[in-house]
Amino acid sequence: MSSQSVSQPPVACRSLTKVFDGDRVVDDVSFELEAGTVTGFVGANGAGKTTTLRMLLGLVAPTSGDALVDGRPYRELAAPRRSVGAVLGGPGAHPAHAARTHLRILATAAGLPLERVVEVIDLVELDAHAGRRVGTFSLGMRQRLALAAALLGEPRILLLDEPVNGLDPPGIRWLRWLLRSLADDGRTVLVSSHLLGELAEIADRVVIIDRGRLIADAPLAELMQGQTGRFEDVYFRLAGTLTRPATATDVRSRP
Amino acid sequence: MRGLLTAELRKATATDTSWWLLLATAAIGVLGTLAPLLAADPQAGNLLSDHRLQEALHGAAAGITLVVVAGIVGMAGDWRFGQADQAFLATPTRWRVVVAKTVVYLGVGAVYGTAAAVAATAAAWGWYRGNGLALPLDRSAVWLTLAGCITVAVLFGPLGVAIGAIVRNQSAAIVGALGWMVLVEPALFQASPSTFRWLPTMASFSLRNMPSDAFLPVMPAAGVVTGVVVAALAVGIRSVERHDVTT
Repeated sequence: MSSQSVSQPPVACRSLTKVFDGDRVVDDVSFELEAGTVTGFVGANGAGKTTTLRMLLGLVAPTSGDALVDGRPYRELAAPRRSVGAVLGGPGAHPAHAARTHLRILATAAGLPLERVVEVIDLVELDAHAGRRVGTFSLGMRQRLALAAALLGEPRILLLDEPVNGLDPPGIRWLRWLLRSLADDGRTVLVSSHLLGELAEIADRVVIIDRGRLIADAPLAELMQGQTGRFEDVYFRLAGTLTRPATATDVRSRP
Repeated sequence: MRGLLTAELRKATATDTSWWLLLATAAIGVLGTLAPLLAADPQAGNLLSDHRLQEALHGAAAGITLVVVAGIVGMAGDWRFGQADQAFLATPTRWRVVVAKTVVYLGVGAVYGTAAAVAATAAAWGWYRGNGLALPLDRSAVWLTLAGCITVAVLFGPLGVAIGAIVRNQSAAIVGALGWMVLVEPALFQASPSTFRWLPTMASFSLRNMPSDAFLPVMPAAGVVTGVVVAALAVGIRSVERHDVTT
Protein backbone atom coordinates (compact mmCIF):
# COMPACT_ATOMS: atom_id res chain seq x y z
CA MET A 1 0.00 0.00 0.00
CA SER A 2 1.46 3.37 -0.98
CA SER A 3 1.95 6.18 1.48
CA GLN A 4 -0.59 8.16 -0.51
CA SER A 5 -3.28 5.55 0.00
CA VAL A 6 -2.57 5.53 3.75
CA SER A 7 -3.10 9.27 4.08
CA GLN A 8 -6.01 9.58 1.67
CA PRO A 9 -9.52 8.19 2.06
CA PRO A 10 -10.05 5.21 -0.25
CA VAL A 11 -12.83 7.05 -2.10
CA ALA A 12 -13.63 10.75 -2.06
CA CYS A 13 -16.03 13.00 -3.95
CA ARG A 14 -15.26 16.68 -3.55
CA SER A 15 -17.76 19.25 -4.83
CA LEU A 16 -18.49 16.78 -7.60
CA THR A 17 -20.76 18.15 -10.29
CA LYS A 18 -21.95 16.80 -13.63
CA VAL A 19 -24.05 18.71 -16.10
CA PHE A 20 -25.62 16.83 -19.02
CA ASP A 21 -27.24 19.12 -21.62
CA GLY A 22 -27.78 21.87 -19.07
CA ASP A 23 -29.22 19.46 -16.47
CA ARG A 24 -27.20 19.24 -13.21
CA VAL A 25 -27.54 15.51 -12.61
CA VAL A 26 -24.90 15.61 -9.85
CA ASP A 27 -24.68 18.89 -7.99
CA ASP A 28 -21.79 19.74 -5.68
CA VAL A 29 -21.68 16.33 -4.00
CA SER A 30 -18.99 15.67 -1.39
CA PHE A 31 -18.47 12.56 0.69
CA GLU A 32 -15.73 10.16 1.67
CA LEU A 33 -15.75 6.43 2.24
CA GLU A 34 -13.91 4.65 5.00
CA ALA A 35 -12.00 1.41 4.76
CA GLY A 36 -13.65 -1.56 6.42
CA THR A 37 -17.19 -0.27 6.00
CA VAL A 38 -20.19 -0.94 3.81
CA THR A 39 -21.75 2.32 2.69
CA GLY A 40 -25.26 2.35 1.27
CA PHE A 41 -25.76 4.80 -1.60
CA VAL A 42 -29.42 5.69 -1.76
CA GLY A 43 -31.53 7.82 -4.06
CA ALA A 44 -34.52 7.68 -6.38
CA ASN A 45 -34.20 6.89 -10.09
CA GLY A 46 -32.32 9.76 -11.72
CA ALA A 47 -30.99 11.02 -8.39
CA GLY A 48 -27.42 10.83 -9.75
CA LYS A 49 -26.14 7.64 -8.12
CA THR A 50 -24.98 5.93 -11.31
CA THR A 51 -23.43 9.10 -12.70
CA THR A 52 -21.53 9.59 -9.44
CA LEU A 53 -20.24 6.01 -9.60
CA ARG A 54 -19.25 6.44 -13.25
CA MET A 55 -17.33 9.61 -12.41
CA LEU A 56 -15.49 7.75 -9.65
CA LEU A 57 -14.63 5.06 -12.21
CA GLY A 58 -13.34 7.49 -14.82
CA LEU A 59 -16.08 6.61 -17.31
CA VAL A 60 -17.78 10.00 -17.07
CA ALA A 61 -15.79 13.22 -16.78
CA PRO A 62 -16.89 15.57 -13.98
CA THR A 63 -18.01 19.02 -15.07
CA SER A 64 -16.30 20.28 -11.92
CA GLY A 65 -14.99 18.90 -8.66
CA ASP A 66 -13.02 15.75 -8.01
CA ALA A 67 -13.81 12.06 -7.96
CA LEU A 68 -10.85 10.38 -6.31
CA VAL A 69 -9.74 6.85 -5.56
CA ASP A 70 -6.77 6.67 -3.20
CA GLY A 71 -6.36 10.39 -3.67
CA ARG A 72 -6.19 10.39 -7.44
CA PRO A 73 -8.52 10.13 -10.43
CA TYR A 74 -9.29 6.55 -11.47
CA ARG A 75 -7.52 7.07 -14.80
CA GLU A 76 -4.26 7.64 -12.97
CA LEU A 77 -4.34 4.38 -11.01
CA ALA A 78 -1.45 2.09 -11.91
CA ALA A 79 -3.44 -1.15 -11.62
CA PRO A 80 -7.09 -0.12 -11.52
CA ARG A 81 -8.58 -3.62 -11.43
CA ARG A 82 -6.49 -4.43 -8.36
CA SER A 83 -7.64 -1.24 -6.65
CA VAL A 84 -11.32 -1.07 -7.58
CA GLY A 85 -13.96 -3.62 -8.51
CA ALA A 86 -17.21 -2.38 -9.98
CA VAL A 87 -20.65 -3.63 -10.89
CA LEU A 88 -22.44 -1.30 -13.30
CA GLY A 89 -25.87 -2.65 -14.11
CA GLY A 90 -24.79 -6.02 -15.51
CA PRO A 91 -21.79 -8.09 -16.44
CA GLY A 92 -20.83 -6.12 -19.56
CA ALA A 93 -20.37 -9.36 -21.43
CA HIS A 94 -21.07 -10.34 -25.03
CA PRO A 95 -24.14 -12.61 -24.92
CA ALA A 96 -22.41 -15.16 -27.16
CA HIS A 97 -19.42 -15.49 -24.84
CA ALA A 98 -19.31 -18.16 -22.18
CA ALA A 99 -19.07 -16.81 -18.64
CA ARG A 100 -15.60 -18.32 -18.26
CA THR A 101 -14.45 -16.77 -21.56
CA HIS A 102 -15.75 -13.37 -20.47
CA LEU A 103 -13.82 -13.51 -17.22
CA ARG A 104 -10.68 -14.77 -18.95
CA ILE A 105 -10.85 -11.79 -21.34
CA LEU A 106 -11.17 -9.38 -18.40
CA ALA A 107 -8.36 -11.05 -16.46
CA THR A 108 -6.06 -11.02 -19.47
CA ALA A 109 -6.73 -7.35 -20.21
CA ALA A 110 -6.00 -6.45 -16.58
CA GLY A 111 -2.87 -8.59 -16.37
CA LEU A 112 -4.39 -10.83 -13.70
CA PRO A 113 -3.57 -14.53 -13.36
CA LEU A 114 -6.14 -16.81 -15.04
CA GLU A 115 -6.34 -18.88 -11.84
CA ARG A 116 -8.37 -16.02 -10.41
CA VAL A 117 -11.11 -16.81 -12.96
CA VAL A 118 -11.65 -20.23 -11.42
CA GLU A 119 -11.57 -18.76 -7.93
CA VAL A 120 -14.17 -16.06 -8.55
CA ILE A 121 -16.42 -18.45 -10.44
CA ASP A 122 -16.38 -20.67 -7.37
CA LEU A 123 -16.88 -17.70 -5.07
CA VAL A 124 -20.05 -16.53 -6.85
CA GLU A 125 -21.24 -20.13 -7.17
CA LEU A 126 -21.39 -20.14 -10.97
CA ASP A 127 -19.08 -23.13 -11.43
CA ALA A 128 -21.89 -25.30 -12.83
CA HIS A 129 -22.68 -22.69 -15.48
CA ALA A 130 -19.24 -21.29 -16.36
CA GLY A 131 -19.30 -22.84 -19.83
CA ARG A 132 -22.72 -21.46 -20.71
CA ARG A 133 -23.27 -18.42 -22.90
CA VAL A 134 -24.04 -15.29 -20.94
CA GLY A 135 -27.05 -14.65 -23.18
CA THR A 136 -28.77 -17.70 -21.66
CA PHE A 137 -28.23 -16.51 -18.07
CA SER A 138 -31.03 -15.40 -15.76
CA LEU A 139 -30.81 -11.89 -14.31
CA GLY A 140 -29.54 -13.30 -11.03
CA MET A 141 -26.80 -15.28 -12.76
CA ARG A 142 -25.79 -12.18 -14.70
CA GLN A 143 -25.48 -10.30 -11.43
CA ARG A 144 -23.31 -13.04 -9.99
CA LEU A 145 -21.12 -12.88 -13.09
CA ALA A 146 -20.85 -9.10 -12.71
CA LEU A 147 -19.76 -9.60 -9.10
CA ALA A 148 -17.22 -12.19 -10.21
CA ALA A 149 -15.77 -9.65 -12.63
CA ALA A 150 -15.63 -7.03 -9.88
CA LEU A 151 -13.78 -9.42 -7.57
CA LEU A 152 -11.25 -10.61 -10.18
CA GLY A 153 -8.46 -8.30 -9.05
CA GLU A 154 -9.08 -8.83 -5.32
CA PRO A 155 -9.69 -5.09 -5.08
CA ARG A 156 -9.59 -3.08 -1.85
CA ILE A 157 -12.54 -0.99 -3.03
CA LEU A 158 -15.88 -2.18 -4.41
CA LEU A 159 -18.34 0.16 -6.09
CA LEU A 160 -21.56 -1.73 -6.76
CA ASP A 161 -24.53 -0.26 -8.60
CA GLU A 162 -27.72 -2.17 -7.78
CA PRO A 163 -25.99 -5.52 -7.21
CA VAL A 164 -29.09 -6.98 -5.55
CA ASN A 165 -31.22 -6.61 -8.71
CA GLY A 166 -32.38 -9.98 -9.93
CA LEU A 167 -30.92 -12.01 -7.08
CA ASP A 168 -33.22 -14.56 -5.50
CA PRO A 169 -33.60 -14.68 -1.69
CA PRO A 170 -30.67 -17.08 -1.22
CA GLY A 171 -28.64 -14.89 -3.55
CA ILE A 172 -29.47 -11.76 -1.55
CA ARG A 173 -28.49 -13.53 1.65
CA TRP A 174 -25.27 -14.69 0.04
CA LEU A 175 -24.48 -11.15 -1.18
CA ARG A 176 -25.14 -9.78 2.30
CA TRP A 177 -22.64 -12.28 3.71
CA LEU A 178 -20.11 -11.52 0.96
CA LEU A 179 -20.20 -7.74 1.40
CA ARG A 180 -20.01 -8.03 5.17
CA SER A 181 -17.02 -10.34 5.01
CA LEU A 182 -15.27 -8.08 2.47
CA ALA A 183 -15.75 -5.07 4.72
CA ASP A 184 -14.61 -7.04 7.77
CA ASP A 185 -11.51 -7.86 5.74
CA GLY A 186 -10.74 -4.12 5.62
CA ARG A 187 -12.15 -3.41 2.17
CA THR A 188 -14.23 -0.38 1.25
CA VAL A 189 -17.67 -1.18 -0.14
CA LEU A 190 -20.18 1.24 -1.67
CA VAL A 191 -23.54 -0.29 -2.62
CA SER A 192 -26.28 1.61 -4.38
CA SER A 193 -29.72 0.11 -4.15
CA HIS A 194 -33.41 0.89 -4.19
CA LEU A 195 -34.02 -1.85 -1.65
CA LEU A 196 -33.87 0.26 1.46
CA GLY A 197 -34.66 -2.57 3.85
CA GLU A 198 -31.88 -4.62 2.31
CA LEU A 199 -29.41 -1.76 2.60
CA ALA A 200 -30.35 -1.27 6.23
CA GLU A 201 -29.33 -4.88 6.80
CA ILE A 202 -25.81 -4.48 5.45
CA ALA A 203 -24.79 -0.81 5.54
CA ASP A 204 -22.67 0.74 8.27
CA ARG A 205 -23.05 4.16 6.76
CA VAL A 206 -25.50 5.78 4.36
CA VAL A 207 -25.09 8.42 1.70
CA ILE A 208 -28.38 9.74 0.34
CA ILE A 209 -28.70 11.90 -2.74
CA ASP A 210 -31.80 13.42 -4.23
CA ARG A 211 -32.04 15.25 -7.57
CA GLY A 212 -28.27 15.31 -7.73
CA ARG A 213 -27.71 16.82 -4.28
CA LEU A 214 -26.33 15.19 -1.19
CA ILE A 215 -28.93 15.16 1.55
CA ALA A 216 -27.40 12.81 4.11
CA ASP A 217 -24.03 11.29 4.89
CA ALA A 218 -23.94 9.62 8.28
CA PRO A 219 -23.55 6.29 10.04
CA LEU A 220 -26.78 4.33 9.74
CA ALA A 221 -26.96 3.79 13.50
CA GLU A 222 -26.74 7.54 14.02
CA LEU A 223 -29.52 8.22 11.50
CA MET A 224 -31.74 5.60 13.08
CA GLN A 225 -31.05 6.68 16.66
CA GLY A 226 -34.29 7.56 18.42
CA GLN A 227 -36.33 6.57 15.36
CA THR A 228 -39.19 4.18 15.83
CA GLY A 229 -39.72 3.49 12.13
CA ARG A 230 -37.67 1.68 9.56
CA PHE A 231 -34.82 3.10 7.50
CA GLU A 232 -37.34 3.54 4.71
CA ASP A 233 -39.28 6.02 6.86
CA VAL A 234 -36.09 7.91 7.66
CA TYR A 235 -35.23 8.06 3.97
CA PHE A 236 -38.60 9.48 2.95
CA ARG A 237 -38.40 12.02 5.73
CA LEU A 238 -35.14 13.24 4.25
CA ALA A 239 -35.45 12.83 0.52
CA GLY A 240 -36.21 15.95 -1.39
CA THR A 241 -36.72 18.13 1.66
CA LEU A 242 -33.32 19.44 2.63
CA THR A 243 -31.09 22.09 1.13
CA ARG A 244 -27.97 20.93 2.96
CA PRO A 245 -26.62 17.52 3.94
CA ALA A 246 -28.57 16.06 6.83
CA THR A 247 -27.13 14.94 10.10
CA ALA A 248 -28.58 12.56 12.61
CA THR A 249 -29.90 15.58 14.48
CA ASP A 250 -31.92 16.65 11.43
CA VAL A 251 -33.61 13.29 11.29
CA ARG A 252 -34.45 13.28 15.00
CA SER A 253 -35.86 16.79 14.87
CA ARG A 254 -38.28 15.96 12.08
CA PRO A 255 -41.72 14.58 12.77
CA MET B 1 -0.13 -3.81 -23.95
CA ARG B 2 0.51 -7.49 -24.55
CA GLY B 3 -2.29 -8.51 -22.18
CA LEU B 4 -4.63 -6.04 -23.81
CA LEU B 5 -3.78 -7.36 -27.29
CA THR B 6 -4.36 -10.94 -26.14
CA ALA B 7 -7.67 -9.96 -24.54
CA GLU B 8 -8.88 -8.20 -27.68
CA LEU B 9 -7.79 -11.13 -29.84
CA ARG B 10 -9.64 -13.51 -27.53
CA LYS B 11 -12.70 -11.26 -27.69
CA ALA B 12 -12.64 -11.27 -31.50
CA THR B 13 -12.19 -15.02 -31.85
CA ALA B 14 -14.77 -15.88 -29.18
CA THR B 15 -17.51 -14.11 -31.14
CA ASP B 16 -19.48 -16.16 -33.66
CA THR B 17 -20.01 -13.10 -35.84
CA SER B 18 -16.29 -12.98 -36.67
CA TRP B 19 -16.37 -16.53 -38.04
CA TRP B 20 -19.61 -16.07 -40.00
CA LEU B 21 -18.22 -12.90 -41.57
CA LEU B 22 -15.03 -14.77 -42.47
CA LEU B 23 -17.06 -17.50 -44.14
CA ALA B 24 -19.20 -14.94 -45.98
CA THR B 25 -16.12 -13.00 -47.15
CA ALA B 26 -14.62 -16.18 -48.64
CA ALA B 27 -17.95 -17.27 -50.17
CA ILE B 28 -18.56 -13.88 -51.79
CA GLY B 29 -14.96 -13.96 -53.02
CA VAL B 30 -15.72 -17.25 -54.77
CA LEU B 31 -18.87 -15.83 -56.35
CA GLY B 32 -17.05 -12.64 -57.34
CA THR B 33 -14.39 -14.70 -59.06
CA LEU B 34 -16.68 -17.16 -60.82
CA ALA B 35 -19.20 -14.58 -62.06
CA PRO B 36 -16.93 -12.99 -64.74
CA LEU B 37 -15.51 -16.38 -65.69
CA LEU B 38 -18.94 -17.93 -66.17
CA ALA B 39 -19.98 -14.93 -68.26
CA ALA B 40 -16.90 -15.30 -70.47
CA ASP B 41 -17.00 -17.21 -73.75
CA PRO B 42 -14.60 -20.18 -73.40
CA GLN B 43 -14.16 -20.25 -77.14
CA ALA B 44 -13.02 -16.63 -77.33
CA GLY B 45 -9.43 -17.57 -76.73
CA ASN B 46 -8.49 -14.80 -74.31
CA LEU B 47 -9.15 -16.65 -71.08
CA LEU B 48 -5.52 -16.49 -70.01
CA SER B 49 -4.97 -12.82 -70.80
CA ASP B 50 -3.80 -10.57 -67.95
CA HIS B 51 -7.02 -8.60 -68.26
CA ARG B 52 -9.21 -11.69 -67.86
CA LEU B 53 -7.16 -13.03 -64.95
CA GLN B 54 -7.27 -9.70 -63.11
CA GLU B 55 -10.98 -9.30 -63.75
CA ALA B 56 -11.67 -12.74 -62.32
CA LEU B 57 -9.31 -12.77 -59.34
CA HIS B 58 -10.04 -9.27 -58.14
CA GLY B 59 -13.40 -10.84 -57.29
CA ALA B 60 -11.57 -12.23 -54.25
CA ALA B 61 -12.18 -8.81 -52.75
CA ALA B 62 -15.89 -8.74 -53.61
CA GLY B 63 -16.78 -9.43 -49.98
CA ILE B 64 -14.03 -7.32 -48.50
CA THR B 65 -16.51 -4.73 -47.20
CA LEU B 66 -17.36 -7.38 -44.60
CA VAL B 67 -13.90 -6.82 -43.10
CA VAL B 68 -15.06 -3.29 -42.34
CA VAL B 69 -18.18 -4.77 -40.73
CA ALA B 70 -15.99 -7.05 -38.59
CA GLY B 71 -13.97 -4.06 -37.41
CA ILE B 72 -17.14 -2.11 -36.60
CA VAL B 73 -18.54 -5.05 -34.63
CA GLY B 74 -15.22 -5.35 -32.79
CA MET B 75 -15.30 -1.72 -31.66
CA ALA B 76 -18.93 -0.55 -31.57
CA GLY B 77 -20.04 -3.95 -30.23
CA ASP B 78 -18.31 -2.98 -26.97
CA TRP B 79 -20.89 -0.25 -26.50
CA ARG B 80 -23.79 -2.43 -27.60
CA PHE B 81 -23.29 -5.02 -24.88
CA GLY B 82 -21.72 -2.89 -22.16
CA GLN B 83 -18.25 -4.34 -22.78
CA ALA B 84 -16.94 -0.78 -23.13
CA ASP B 85 -17.40 -0.33 -19.36
CA GLN B 86 -15.27 -3.37 -18.66
CA ALA B 87 -12.65 -2.48 -21.28
CA PHE B 88 -12.17 1.04 -19.95
CA LEU B 89 -12.24 -0.05 -16.31
CA ALA B 90 -9.30 -2.35 -17.00
CA THR B 91 -7.57 0.18 -19.29
CA PRO B 92 -8.62 3.71 -18.35
CA THR B 93 -6.25 5.22 -20.92
CA ARG B 94 -8.81 4.54 -23.62
CA TRP B 95 -6.63 5.17 -26.65
CA ARG B 96 -4.72 2.03 -25.75
CA VAL B 97 -7.90 -0.02 -26.19
CA VAL B 98 -8.47 1.45 -29.66
CA VAL B 99 -4.84 0.85 -30.62
CA ALA B 100 -5.06 -2.77 -29.41
CA LYS B 101 -8.21 -3.31 -31.47
CA THR B 102 -6.51 -1.70 -34.48
CA VAL B 103 -3.62 -4.15 -34.25
CA VAL B 104 -5.96 -7.12 -33.78
CA TYR B 105 -8.14 -6.12 -36.74
CA LEU B 106 -5.09 -5.61 -38.95
CA GLY B 107 -4.57 -9.32 -38.30
CA VAL B 108 -8.25 -10.13 -38.72
CA GLY B 109 -8.16 -8.30 -42.08
CA ALA B 110 -5.12 -10.35 -43.12
CA VAL B 111 -6.91 -13.58 -42.23
CA TYR B 112 -10.10 -12.55 -44.06
CA GLY B 113 -8.14 -11.38 -47.10
CA THR B 114 -6.05 -14.53 -47.24
CA ALA B 115 -9.11 -16.75 -46.84
CA ALA B 116 -10.89 -14.89 -49.65
CA ALA B 117 -7.79 -15.06 -51.87
CA VAL B 118 -7.35 -18.79 -51.30
CA ALA B 119 -11.06 -19.46 -51.91
CA ALA B 120 -11.08 -17.33 -55.06
CA THR B 121 -7.93 -19.00 -56.39
CA ALA B 122 -9.38 -22.44 -55.76
CA ALA B 123 -12.61 -21.48 -57.55
CA ALA B 124 -10.69 -20.04 -60.52
CA TRP B 125 -8.38 -23.05 -60.63
CA GLY B 126 -11.41 -25.37 -60.75
CA TRP B 127 -13.08 -23.35 -63.51
CA TYR B 128 -9.95 -23.21 -65.66
CA ARG B 129 -9.34 -26.91 -65.15
CA GLY B 130 -12.93 -27.61 -66.15
CA ASN B 131 -12.21 -25.80 -69.41
CA GLY B 132 -9.02 -27.75 -70.02
CA LEU B 133 -6.71 -24.93 -68.97
CA ALA B 134 -4.25 -24.40 -66.10
CA LEU B 135 -4.48 -21.29 -63.94
CA PRO B 136 -1.06 -19.63 -64.37
CA LEU B 137 -0.21 -19.00 -60.74
CA ASP B 138 3.25 -17.73 -61.64
CA ARG B 139 1.87 -14.78 -63.60
CA SER B 140 2.15 -11.38 -61.91
CA ALA B 141 -1.42 -10.59 -62.99
CA VAL B 142 -2.51 -13.37 -60.64
CA TRP B 143 -0.44 -12.81 -57.55
CA LEU B 144 -0.42 -9.02 -57.69
CA THR B 145 -4.21 -9.09 -57.81
CA LEU B 146 -4.42 -11.50 -54.88
CA ALA B 147 -1.81 -9.56 -52.89
CA GLY B 148 -3.80 -6.37 -53.55
CA CYS B 149 -6.98 -7.98 -52.25
CA ILE B 150 -5.20 -9.03 -49.04
CA THR B 151 -3.68 -5.55 -48.64
CA VAL B 152 -7.11 -3.92 -48.91
CA ALA B 153 -8.49 -6.36 -46.32
CA VAL B 154 -5.61 -5.54 -43.95
CA LEU B 155 -6.38 -1.81 -44.26
CA PHE B 156 -10.17 -2.21 -44.02
CA GLY B 157 -10.09 -3.99 -40.63
CA PRO B 158 -8.71 -0.90 -38.82
CA LEU B 159 -11.04 1.28 -40.90
CA GLY B 160 -13.96 -0.62 -39.36
CA VAL B 161 -12.48 -0.10 -35.88
CA ALA B 162 -12.21 3.63 -36.59
CA ILE B 163 -15.80 3.87 -37.83
CA GLY B 164 -17.00 1.95 -34.77
CA ALA B 165 -15.08 4.31 -32.48
CA ILE B 166 -16.53 7.38 -34.15
CA VAL B 167 -20.17 6.25 -34.49
CA ARG B 168 -20.38 3.82 -31.51
CA ASN B 169 -23.91 2.74 -32.50
CA GLN B 170 -23.17 -0.61 -34.12
CA SER B 171 -26.22 -0.81 -36.40
CA ALA B 172 -25.90 2.79 -37.59
CA ALA B 173 -22.18 2.30 -38.23
CA ILE B 174 -22.71 -0.87 -40.29
CA VAL B 175 -25.59 0.54 -42.33
CA GLY B 176 -23.74 3.81 -42.90
CA ALA B 177 -20.47 2.16 -43.89
CA LEU B 178 -22.05 -0.38 -46.23
CA GLY B 179 -24.31 2.26 -47.77
CA TRP B 180 -21.34 4.52 -48.40
CA MET B 181 -19.07 1.81 -49.79
CA VAL B 182 -21.59 -0.15 -51.85
CA LEU B 183 -23.99 2.58 -53.01
CA VAL B 184 -22.76 6.14 -52.57
CA GLU B 185 -19.15 5.86 -53.74
CA PRO B 186 -19.94 3.77 -56.85
CA ALA B 187 -22.76 6.17 -57.77
CA LEU B 188 -20.49 9.19 -57.39
CA PHE B 189 -17.77 7.43 -59.37
CA GLN B 190 -20.22 6.69 -62.17
CA ALA B 191 -21.16 10.36 -62.25
CA SER B 192 -17.59 11.66 -62.40
CA PRO B 193 -14.81 9.03 -62.44
CA SER B 194 -11.95 11.50 -62.59
CA THR B 195 -13.12 13.30 -59.45
CA PHE B 196 -14.45 10.48 -57.32
CA ARG B 197 -11.71 7.94 -58.01
CA TRP B 198 -10.02 9.64 -55.04
CA LEU B 199 -12.65 8.26 -52.66
CA PRO B 200 -11.30 5.43 -50.48
CA THR B 201 -13.40 2.52 -51.77
CA MET B 202 -12.75 3.52 -55.37
CA ALA B 203 -9.05 3.90 -54.58
CA SER B 204 -9.08 0.41 -53.12
CA PHE B 205 -10.13 -0.95 -56.53
CA SER B 206 -6.78 -0.03 -58.00
CA LEU B 207 -5.02 -1.68 -55.06
CA ARG B 208 -6.96 -4.81 -55.97
CA ASN B 209 -5.49 -4.54 -59.49
CA MET B 210 -8.87 -3.90 -61.10
CA PRO B 211 -8.24 -3.73 -64.86
CA SER B 212 -9.45 -0.23 -65.65
CA ASP B 213 -7.76 3.05 -66.54
CA ALA B 214 -10.48 4.98 -64.76
CA PHE B 215 -8.97 4.26 -61.33
CA LEU B 216 -5.98 5.89 -59.68
CA PRO B 217 -2.50 4.45 -60.17
CA VAL B 218 -1.54 2.03 -57.40
CA MET B 219 0.74 4.27 -55.33
CA PRO B 220 -1.59 7.28 -55.03
CA ALA B 221 -4.42 4.83 -54.34
CA ALA B 222 -2.42 3.22 -51.54
CA GLY B 223 -1.77 6.68 -50.13
CA VAL B 224 -5.46 7.57 -50.23
CA VAL B 225 -6.64 4.39 -48.49
CA THR B 226 -3.88 4.49 -45.87
CA GLY B 227 -4.45 8.20 -45.26
CA VAL B 228 -8.19 7.72 -44.78
CA VAL B 229 -7.62 4.85 -42.35
CA VAL B 230 -5.05 6.82 -40.31
CA ALA B 231 -7.22 9.96 -40.26
CA ALA B 232 -10.32 7.97 -39.27
CA LEU B 233 -8.39 6.27 -36.46
CA ALA B 234 -7.17 9.62 -35.16
CA VAL B 235 -10.74 10.94 -35.10
CA GLY B 236 -11.97 7.71 -33.51
CA ILE B 237 -9.37 7.79 -30.74
CA ARG B 238 -10.15 11.42 -30.00
CA SER B 239 -13.86 10.64 -29.92
CA VAL B 240 -13.42 7.69 -27.54
CA GLU B 241 -11.18 9.75 -25.25
CA ARG B 242 -13.56 12.71 -25.10
CA HIS B 243 -16.97 11.10 -24.80
CA ASP B 244 -18.47 9.90 -21.54
CA VAL B 245 -19.13 6.18 -21.34
CA THR B 246 -22.74 6.15 -20.24
CA THR B 247 -24.10 2.87 -21.57
